[in-house]
Amino acid sequence: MRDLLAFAAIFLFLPMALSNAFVAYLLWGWAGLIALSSYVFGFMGVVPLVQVFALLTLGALLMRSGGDKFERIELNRTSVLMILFATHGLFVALFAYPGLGRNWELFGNVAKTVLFCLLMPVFVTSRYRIHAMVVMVALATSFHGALDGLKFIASGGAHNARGIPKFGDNNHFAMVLLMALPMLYYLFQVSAQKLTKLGFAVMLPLIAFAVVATASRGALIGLCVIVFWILMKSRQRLIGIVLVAISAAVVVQLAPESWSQRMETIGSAKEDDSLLGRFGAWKVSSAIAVANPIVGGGFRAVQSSAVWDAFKDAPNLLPFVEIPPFSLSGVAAHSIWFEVMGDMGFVGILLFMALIANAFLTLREIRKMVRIRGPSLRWASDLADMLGAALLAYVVTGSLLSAAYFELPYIFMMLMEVLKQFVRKQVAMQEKPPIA
Amino acid sequence: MTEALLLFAQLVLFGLLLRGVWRMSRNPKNGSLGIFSYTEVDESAPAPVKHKKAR
Repeated sequence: MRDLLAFAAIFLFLPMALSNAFVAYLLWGWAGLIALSSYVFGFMGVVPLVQVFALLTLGALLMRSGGDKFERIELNRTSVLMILFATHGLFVALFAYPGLGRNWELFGNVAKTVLFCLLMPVFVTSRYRIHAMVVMVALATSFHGALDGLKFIASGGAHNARGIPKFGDNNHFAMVLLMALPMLYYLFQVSAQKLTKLGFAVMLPLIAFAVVATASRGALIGLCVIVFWILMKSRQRLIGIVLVAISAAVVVQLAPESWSQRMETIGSAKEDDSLLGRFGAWKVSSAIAVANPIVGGGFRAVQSSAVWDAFKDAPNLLPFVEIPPFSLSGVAAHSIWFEVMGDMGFVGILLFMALIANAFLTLREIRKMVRIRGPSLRWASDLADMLGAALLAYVVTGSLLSAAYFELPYIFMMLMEVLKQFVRKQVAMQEKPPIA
Repeated sequence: MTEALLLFAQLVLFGLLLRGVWRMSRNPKNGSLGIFSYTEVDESAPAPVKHKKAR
């Protein structure tokens, strides 16, 4: 039944995608984030939707179909950094230690993500297209959490959200949902129709409940950080504080004793086995980078038992961290920073950090330009703030997770760049004297 | 059952977004994103000017 439903929908979407390259591009992004194969059980589960829509987009781009005009492919700061990151990834995969099961698969993921992002400035050239991109991302990501949010309420807080295989474990799932929250808040702010506004207003607490249902301690910290960020940036701060207080009270009432006990261990994390295991993985990851500063050990090198055993006592960047010896071998890096450092060396981590720093620098530039242009572009400043909140959620929760090659933060980084280009053009148009 | 309903809602909502985008691409001046339309600010409106209080 679900397969027929999905097939019918895709069949209806296809003519629009064939006649309009931007529609095909949106379908490409949506198919990647929605992971339809996790929700259908039959023939639709094996249809490579992402590849189909990617090919449709590239075909349409070559034929130049699609309503209004496209921009030419022009290099900007973000795209240059992304190209460098992906090119470096190719050398990393080529010079990786032998026997890494997911080496080329992860390089492929990085390359596909960068290709999608590089095409964004070509397609996303106007406000309605920027808005459509945000709606697409918000719909696709929040969909995964809506059911868990409902189950959390229906079960009186007993539901445990695990997420779908595409994202990884409950912590990764919580990170994805946290990144969706600022997008939902932005859409709630700017939606013109009351019913749509109400829909996004309902989704906000539902996704927050789904985050709580994951019982992820890192996500609870991330949730507090982005709620604080959103409140600071909000023009309706008082209403926001009241809503957050009500939601927090509901969570405290609904959440079971086991959840409260787990969250209370945040303060005593130093004695926690899971944190000690992370320190071990960070030591090994940094040891791999010290030995291979240019190209690292290859994608997911730290998860190879052979590589782990070779580097577990090697010189590393954390000699001051004393941890008791443990029998683990070949575990995940558990931090985006140490993951990239071990996988891609110091060159890789520098590029990765430059990408993130560049996004926040772009946010500052947007705010500055909007101040010059006046209130007509305030929406752009609001959107930039929410993209910043989503990236902050990624940085905070990702610091304790292996999620460096997940596509969503890269999409947000490029969306920030696209937004800057749009605002810059608007400011330039205002400054240019009218032709007599 | 709830998951199937949510999937149905997702497909319908995304379909409505694509329809809006398709219409806007054909008619950027007068088109609309339908239920996903956003609040417009009058582009011709001047930025607010702060007046100094008369002494």
